[in-house]
Amino acid sequence: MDDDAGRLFRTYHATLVRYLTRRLGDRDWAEEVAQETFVRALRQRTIANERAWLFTVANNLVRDEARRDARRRRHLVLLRAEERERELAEPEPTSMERAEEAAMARKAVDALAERDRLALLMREEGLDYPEIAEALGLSVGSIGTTLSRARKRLVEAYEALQKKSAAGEGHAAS
Amino acid sequence: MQHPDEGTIHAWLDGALSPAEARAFEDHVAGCTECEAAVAAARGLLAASSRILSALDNVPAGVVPTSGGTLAELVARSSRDTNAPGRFRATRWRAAAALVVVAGASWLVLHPQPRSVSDVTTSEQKAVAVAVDSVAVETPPPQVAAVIPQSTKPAAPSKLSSAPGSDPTARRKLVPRPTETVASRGDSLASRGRLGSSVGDQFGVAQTQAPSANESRSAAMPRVAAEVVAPARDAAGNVVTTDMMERRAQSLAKADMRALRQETQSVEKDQAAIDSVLAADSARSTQVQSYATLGAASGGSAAKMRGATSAPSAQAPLPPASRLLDASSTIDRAAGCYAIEMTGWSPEDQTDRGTPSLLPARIELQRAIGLSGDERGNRLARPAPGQPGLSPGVIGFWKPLGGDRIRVTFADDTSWVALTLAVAPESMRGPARTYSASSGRLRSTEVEARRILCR
Repeated sequence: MDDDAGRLFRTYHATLVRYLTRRLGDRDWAEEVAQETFVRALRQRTIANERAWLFTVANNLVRDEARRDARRRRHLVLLRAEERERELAEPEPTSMERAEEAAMARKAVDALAERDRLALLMREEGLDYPEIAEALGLSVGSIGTTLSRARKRLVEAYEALQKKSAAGEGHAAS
Repeated sequence: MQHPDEGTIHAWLDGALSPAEARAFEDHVAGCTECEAAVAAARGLLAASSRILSALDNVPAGVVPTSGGTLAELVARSSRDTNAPGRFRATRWRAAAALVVVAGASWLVLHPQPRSVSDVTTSEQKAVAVAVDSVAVETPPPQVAAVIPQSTKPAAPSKLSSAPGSDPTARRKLVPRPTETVASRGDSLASRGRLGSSVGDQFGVAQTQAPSANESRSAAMPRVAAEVVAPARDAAGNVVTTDMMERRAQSLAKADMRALRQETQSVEKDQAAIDSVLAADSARSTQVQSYATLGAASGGSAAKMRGATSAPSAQAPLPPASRLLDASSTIDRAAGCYAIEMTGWSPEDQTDRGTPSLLPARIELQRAIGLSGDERGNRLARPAPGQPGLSPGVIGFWKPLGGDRIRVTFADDTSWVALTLAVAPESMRGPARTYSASSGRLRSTEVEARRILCR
């Protein structure tokens, strides 16, 4: 059991944190949710499909918390942002660009329907179609369609934002 | 075969088709130019979306502490978090607690006699070993500290203290294991490594607790033990709500609250003592250096004492001496009363309710350290004497930022105002920002804090 717990943690912690970070845009929050997820896993006697179980629990924890506490969370996130401000020294141009890219990616991902977004993020973490189907309560046969739609919309949204940003810069320069 | 739809193309690219399906798909595509183009487009989408998602990883983190080293502490935290708007790092607090803990460990090594009860020593050593380990992985100390009295008081039942103090195996059971995660990850992943260690430790603690819960603790804490062991499922068989955790957290938190208060006060006293030593001593850097050395040496002893193979206390988060000194002198010079003058904000900007502003017109930056919520570990900021007190639900605190600046924050559940001030004898200036969650507006202005007499 001890070995199981350690193995579970070593195998899935990094991928779960990355998934949650991509989903939430806040790594501290992501790590808290991941930690809570592993604590719950620890209480579970048997887990049939570990990866799908962990992602399902993490999804539900995020949803529960978001529902209960959306306003406070926004407040907290902004307080943290305030904290970060002093931690981040004056950013280099490259990190500015990266931040812009991240902001656009964030917007594009947020524009997706919830189901599409989760399916896409889980697929990126290597979950196979049956696992995604289990975590989202969908049929395995529908996952390909869900993913194709999600990818297409993500790329379209991102490109639209890029164009908008380029147009804004052009306007500012002229 | 009809032309495959996009879902099938993506499924094929993802390797999700069965061998038979994949073969049929490939056969069709080989003879269909249209489908080849569709596959190429889908491949492009797949690569592009992957690249876009990887841009999401550019997120700063590590600005708030990850939670602690014991399951009990984590459970208690889950309850507190629903009421606390946020938690911040408190480096000096942690450093002070680290000093207290290593000093305690040293004292135990040098004075192995128990103070009153003959079997206290084992429990204390155990508790200090746990605490030293926990501090080494950057657990917020006030919460860790709660473990100590709890372990020395068999009368106060808790998950940790319920292991018999006289049990020679108890210490080993309770010492969090150093995990591979910690050892194998570099400094660049410090945050994740920290979490890894703490969760890994929780696994370690809980795994050793689970069997014994059935044996020795079931009589004392039947409900808690049952909840810890029982699988948590909802109707779908997967997820539990937080209700159960909160119930347990409440029962644990009540038992630990008194001990937590005592320990917090004690740590605060030590913090004050350290402050006065630092302020008075002209040879400050030497003094602090010796503290740091003592910390490392004592940490090693503590590690040997509990039979660990490594000495994680060597990584105890003592800040560099220069930073400690800088913070200390900044606090000394900034503490006092100030009249706040700002331009660019109407009072309505400072809170979404348009009620009295969060920021008092005259403030006092106190040396006292807050004990709860976001104030914990930070210095208190309050209305200056003679001003109306803080409104209910409003908190105020300040802390040194380095570079001889301080940050003063007043906040309630939905809005905050934060001043970043350059420390100066008569007048401190700097930017101020305020945010209101309901309006979603973030505004900035310049602020001047002019020193006044505290009366």
